[in-house]
Amino acid sequence: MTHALLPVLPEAVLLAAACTVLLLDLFLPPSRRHWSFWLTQATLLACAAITVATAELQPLHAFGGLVVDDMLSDFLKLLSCVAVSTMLFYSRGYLAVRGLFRGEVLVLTMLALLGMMVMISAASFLTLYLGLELLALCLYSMVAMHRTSNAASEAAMKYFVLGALASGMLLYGMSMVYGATGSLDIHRIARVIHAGQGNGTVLLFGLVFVVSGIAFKLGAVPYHMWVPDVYHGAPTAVTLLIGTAPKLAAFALTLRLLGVALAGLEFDWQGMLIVLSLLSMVLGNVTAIAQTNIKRMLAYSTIANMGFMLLGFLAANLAGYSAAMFYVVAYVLTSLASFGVVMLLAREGFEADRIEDFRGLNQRSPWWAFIMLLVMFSLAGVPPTLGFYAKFAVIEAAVGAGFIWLAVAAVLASLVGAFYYLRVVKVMYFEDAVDTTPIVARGDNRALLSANGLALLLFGILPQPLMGLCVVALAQSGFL
Amino acid sequence: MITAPALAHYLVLGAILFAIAMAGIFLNRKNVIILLMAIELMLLAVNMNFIAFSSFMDDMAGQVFVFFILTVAAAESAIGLAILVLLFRNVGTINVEDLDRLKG
Amino acid sequence: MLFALILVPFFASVLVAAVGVRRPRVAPWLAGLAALACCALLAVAAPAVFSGAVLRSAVPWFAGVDVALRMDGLAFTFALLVCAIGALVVLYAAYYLSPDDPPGRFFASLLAFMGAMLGVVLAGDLIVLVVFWELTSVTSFLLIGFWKHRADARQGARMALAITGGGGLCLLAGVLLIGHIVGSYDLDRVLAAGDLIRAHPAYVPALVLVLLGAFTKSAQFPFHFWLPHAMAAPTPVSAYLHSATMVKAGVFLLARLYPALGMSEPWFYLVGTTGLVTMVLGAAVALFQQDLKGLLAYSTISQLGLITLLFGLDSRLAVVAGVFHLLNHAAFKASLFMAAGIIDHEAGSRDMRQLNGLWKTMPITGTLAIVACGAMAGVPLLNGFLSKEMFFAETLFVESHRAIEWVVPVAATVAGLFGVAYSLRFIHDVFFNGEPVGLPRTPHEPPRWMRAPVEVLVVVCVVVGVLPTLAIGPLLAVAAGGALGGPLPEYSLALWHGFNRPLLMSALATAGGVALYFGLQRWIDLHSVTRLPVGGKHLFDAALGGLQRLADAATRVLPFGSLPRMLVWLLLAVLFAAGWHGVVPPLAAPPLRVPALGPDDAALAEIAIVVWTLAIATAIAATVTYRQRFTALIFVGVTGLMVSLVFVLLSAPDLALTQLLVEVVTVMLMMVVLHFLPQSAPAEPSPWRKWRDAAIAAAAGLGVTGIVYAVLTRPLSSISPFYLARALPEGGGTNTVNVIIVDFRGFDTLGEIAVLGIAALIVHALLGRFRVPAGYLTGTATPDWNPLLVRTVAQSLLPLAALVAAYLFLRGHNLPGGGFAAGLVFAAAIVVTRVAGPVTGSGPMSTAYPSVIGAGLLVACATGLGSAWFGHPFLTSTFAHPVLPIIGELPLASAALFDLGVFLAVVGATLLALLVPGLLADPPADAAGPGATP
Repeated sequence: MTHALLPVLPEAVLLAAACTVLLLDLFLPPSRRHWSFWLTQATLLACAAITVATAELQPLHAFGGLVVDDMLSDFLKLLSCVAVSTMLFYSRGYLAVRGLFRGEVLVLTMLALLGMMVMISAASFLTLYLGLELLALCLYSMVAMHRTSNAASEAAMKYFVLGALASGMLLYGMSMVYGATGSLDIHRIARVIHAGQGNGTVLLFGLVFVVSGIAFKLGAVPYHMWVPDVYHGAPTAVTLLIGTAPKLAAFALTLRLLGVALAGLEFDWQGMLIVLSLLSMVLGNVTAIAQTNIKRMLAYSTIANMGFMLLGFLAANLAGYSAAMFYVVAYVLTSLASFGVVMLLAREGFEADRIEDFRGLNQRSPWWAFIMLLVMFSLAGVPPTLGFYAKFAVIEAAVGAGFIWLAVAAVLASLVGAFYYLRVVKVMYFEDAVDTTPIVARGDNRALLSANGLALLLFGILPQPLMGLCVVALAQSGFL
Repeated sequence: MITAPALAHYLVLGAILFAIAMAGIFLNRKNVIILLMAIELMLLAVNMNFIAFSSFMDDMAGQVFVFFILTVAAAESAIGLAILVLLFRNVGTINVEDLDRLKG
Repeated sequence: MLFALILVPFFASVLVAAVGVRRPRVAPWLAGLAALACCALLAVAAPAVFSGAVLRSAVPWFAGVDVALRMDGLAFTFALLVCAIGALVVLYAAYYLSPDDPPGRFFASLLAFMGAMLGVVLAGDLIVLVVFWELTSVTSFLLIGFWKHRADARQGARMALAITGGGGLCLLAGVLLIGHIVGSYDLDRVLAAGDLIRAHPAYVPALVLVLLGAFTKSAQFPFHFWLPHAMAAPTPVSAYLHSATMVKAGVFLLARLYPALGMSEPWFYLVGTTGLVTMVLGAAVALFQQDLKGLLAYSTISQLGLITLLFGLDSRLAVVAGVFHLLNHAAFKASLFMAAGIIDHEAGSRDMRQLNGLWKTMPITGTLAIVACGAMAGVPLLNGFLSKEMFFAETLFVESHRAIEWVVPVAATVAGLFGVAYSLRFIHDVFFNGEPVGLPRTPHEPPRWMRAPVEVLVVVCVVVGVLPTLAIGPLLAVAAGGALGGPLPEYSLALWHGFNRPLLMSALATAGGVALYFGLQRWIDLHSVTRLPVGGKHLFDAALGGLQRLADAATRVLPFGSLPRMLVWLLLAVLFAAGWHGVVPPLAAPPLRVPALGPDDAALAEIAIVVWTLAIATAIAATVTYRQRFTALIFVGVTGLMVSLVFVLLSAPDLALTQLLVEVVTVMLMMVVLHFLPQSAPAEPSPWRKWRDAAIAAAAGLGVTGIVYAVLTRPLSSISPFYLARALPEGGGTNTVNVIIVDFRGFDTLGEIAVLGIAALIVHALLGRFRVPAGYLTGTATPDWNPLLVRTVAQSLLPLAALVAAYLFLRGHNLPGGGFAAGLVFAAAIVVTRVAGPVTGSGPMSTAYPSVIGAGLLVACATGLGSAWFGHPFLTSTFAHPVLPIIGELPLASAALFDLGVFLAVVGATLLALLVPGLLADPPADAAGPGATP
């Protein structure tokens, strides 16, 4: 018999390590700060290893049904660990230069990851909410971490007020679903709804609030307003964190809430997701054109990308869910590389966050220009990069489920999107460099970023292993 | 004749609190601290719902959830206030409408 | 072998890119070898293809899609075109490029393009086709923008990529639809499913999307304008991409998918009309160009329109004619582009107003160009004549409405007429018509080998024109067979068909063309026409500008940046969603079922109503009195208090206690913070806005309230009995909620205290290291602002609170309380003492809190892990019940240890969260001002 602790061992280790780093950091002199960093990295590695080692083929419920350990959660947890670890490697230099390379940041990053992991393996409203808040609280404060920056504290305030409000919405919806079905356990709720015992009106009402909450966390239009300001105002390292691993957790949240608990209301939430998806794709891509700040542009691109993800999701079948999952994974990989390059160009007193800061990058460094080219192509969906296959998969899923016009709209939206991604390419390749400062970075950062960029190409040419994993993970977790 | 409070009464109380919170947000869109209070009120409404359902369905899970919400709400206010203080120190205002550095 | 065919160019491309930097002279040799190797591979495949076989090979790619390659006659013909002309272009380019141009980059891009193009024509799967299709767009972007120092090259490259890449996306959507209809992307299955596709409701959207892809690539009206702008590319690129290969991809697609999508009314109208308009328009505009390559570009557009029209005519014979003309056009247009390039290279200009009378200096090039022009104009004994005759014949067989029946042949004749005219202009203006005007260089013949490719192509034109059956017959047969996917119609490639109407049309066009050109020369000076009304670029720019303006407008109108507007949008969106889903009608809900009253209930009900009313009243008061923040805060606090009373009514006493404590702590926190915020409230909004907001608020409130009325009490399944049944035997306690929290929900409690701890740490991280400037709060934080009485009471509170906390903690396992509540009580007491007490400097305590929190979390974690170590589930307690005096039975469960962890974490967190902002008031020791230290 498997040990009862096993399903949450990565979380337990992570929490313990976070406490340890916290205590350690109090007594470490600043010159030894890198001990904390490497301890954090070791923890992330350990978490990833434990997740893989304890992976179960069959879903395993633990703690009275509060958490579930299935292949889906193992896969997403593993990716989250990798994403967070990569993020720390990318941001180390950036944070150090700005005096933000402190123990708190490491601890908060770990705790944010803890929140994501709890969210990913949650099987009850209770754990979902706990994970969500854990993550959100850490993110709010990390945005504000640059304490002397006006933009950062403004972004944090906006993020906080809107986020708290959205959490309230989600909770209100959850309370309604609880009232209508009598349970907080997502599988039990699914059974009650399936048996037709739920109170229809109350359920539907709850659903509206739940979908609103989810849409906010994903950043889908019209619940997207926090995304640009937060991406823009936060230190780039934090933007990188917000823009990557939490999307995996948000996907898990969406899947557990809509795909499992409220699966019986499929026809109702499909309608809402269609609106969200369409608005996000169109508005995200159109407004991105007007941006001159690359972080803001990438924020709108996130909004549009979440629209595409929802496009796959709303097919509400295995093909759709796996396409959406693949899309999120692809997006996270691409996003890591994009902000990675932005941070690479940044240096003391210079953020490199305007599109014009990329002028003539090809002259300064053909390699990083090439990596950024891959990123932009992937975001635009140009074959044979990862983004192409991701877009293909979600659009195919939507067509397969009969949403033909939505799929056509998606194609048109990505056409608009290609415009601003290619503008960055043009600026990098066809314009002359104004700033000729050499680009310096640590070796590990450079190696990782290169690998990250090339992975966009490699997985684009050979998407099958990754897609196969998505399909197997979902199928083994009961999404058939 | 006075009737015993039914589930619906508690729920309506919850709904009214929720509605007041919303009204508060609409009415006081300037002062951040009032926004925080409104959010607090909203969570109270949620708690009310959970407790009422929990009590009338004789299901303890709802009550346990409320413990969570209480804790988290407290933590949230603490962080919100910290951010507010930070903002005030940086920008010198807590008027929401003065927050316009980031836009576009 | 098919894979080798595609991999050779790509591999060579990487090789050239790597080698070309150091050894620029090797690059063209490598590229040429690669192209010739491909030709050799094709030669190997030729016998099988000519015997009618279809070669296939595939490797699995991802679910449902293979990297499938498939070579039938059509694919073979196109592949031959790509490889053979590729080899010629490489030879030509080796002489064309100047020493400043990096040959490595050029030939690497060219080879990559060649590989992508081969991929398009050999694709055996529609997805593979789309992938290579987009790759041709990307590589052509690199090639057109090769001279990146030139603004027109950059702009042309971007425009080409935007149009053709966008078209590729449309194609992808169309392909997805086809795959949806057929159930597979495999080309064989798609081609076999023509009837199924045409009968499907998604046929027209699929067709339109695929056609958008084809038309953008083949520069059909109204997407034609990118092609003239792409002329900024080096001429070898134009000869290769813009005459022979890339622009042909569109018509190739039409031919490829003809069995699946063709033979229908929508096909006829869409393809036919587009082709017709493009053909006439392109031909007319070509005549008025001044740039040699511009003339060729528009003539290409026109000729592509002609081919498109042929496919659109939707007869099997027309398809044969289309394929035939496609081959012929590749031969003569590529040679013309190369000739234009030679002229540009040797004379230094492409402007026909400068280039005159080159016959004297470049007789050989002149001869070649004149022959090729003749083919373009459709002069007998040249290849263009044959396919043009076939085309004229086909236009006469259009069976449709009467109007269309004569429109097509007339348009064809007109286009032919313009075709003759612009061909004539090319010859006359460049080689004759007086002397050169201010050429930068003295023109002369090009190097021997630079001319060779042109010679080869011109020879092909002549041979095909004279001996069509022998020279092109078999190839045309397999190509057309592949396009039609079935038996070929009867056709004859003979030169002479007797005096018939097509011949008449040819004669008319030729005579008219000659007359038109010389007429125009005479009456309006062609050289003076510098601007044409038809400018697709304007449309493109307008579209882009429009998009930009739309983006700006969207950014302005939508709630970006302003928090109040964001809030309103967020709430309205939720309300709209709720309303949209029809859950608003409260009147439709069944009436409330009210249970009957017992005497006890009546009393309870009275209390409930009082509490109720109070709760609502205070909440409203808080909302209305928001300008007096302290008052509002107190009202919010009272609301919380009332809610905790409601909890008592709902028999959740322990929750009520926690709610009460949390409320107290939160209010304290807000008080502390309010102390440091500005005293003045922000200015009022205008009365109009206030009323508007109030109305929205009221509507929102009423809506929400109304909906909940729809809720009815009803029997529901419950898991509570499960917990009640398990509480005592397994957890060793009787207090259900507490036992649940500690044992069953132990994991979550851990999470809960983690959240609290994190919150406190965050507060510390955000504010902990702030130093208040001296005098910042002078007047508010005077040393003795607390009366002695308050201080005394507060200090006596501490031991009392400690006692209560200890009691709550120890009894916790059997009564409401536990580590959580105990921690809150204790922490609150400490805070009261600190706030009431004399203001001290920021003590060393602030660094101690994180340790307390960390220790608490570790204890709680360790308990769980310890439990697990002994083989129990996480946090399920091992327990003993030693009996203590006074307190009674002490539940010494491992859960109690866990509670200790909870207690520590809560105390640490609360203190940290409350005192760190409090410390802000304290002037720092190192920046002490007068009167700041007590």
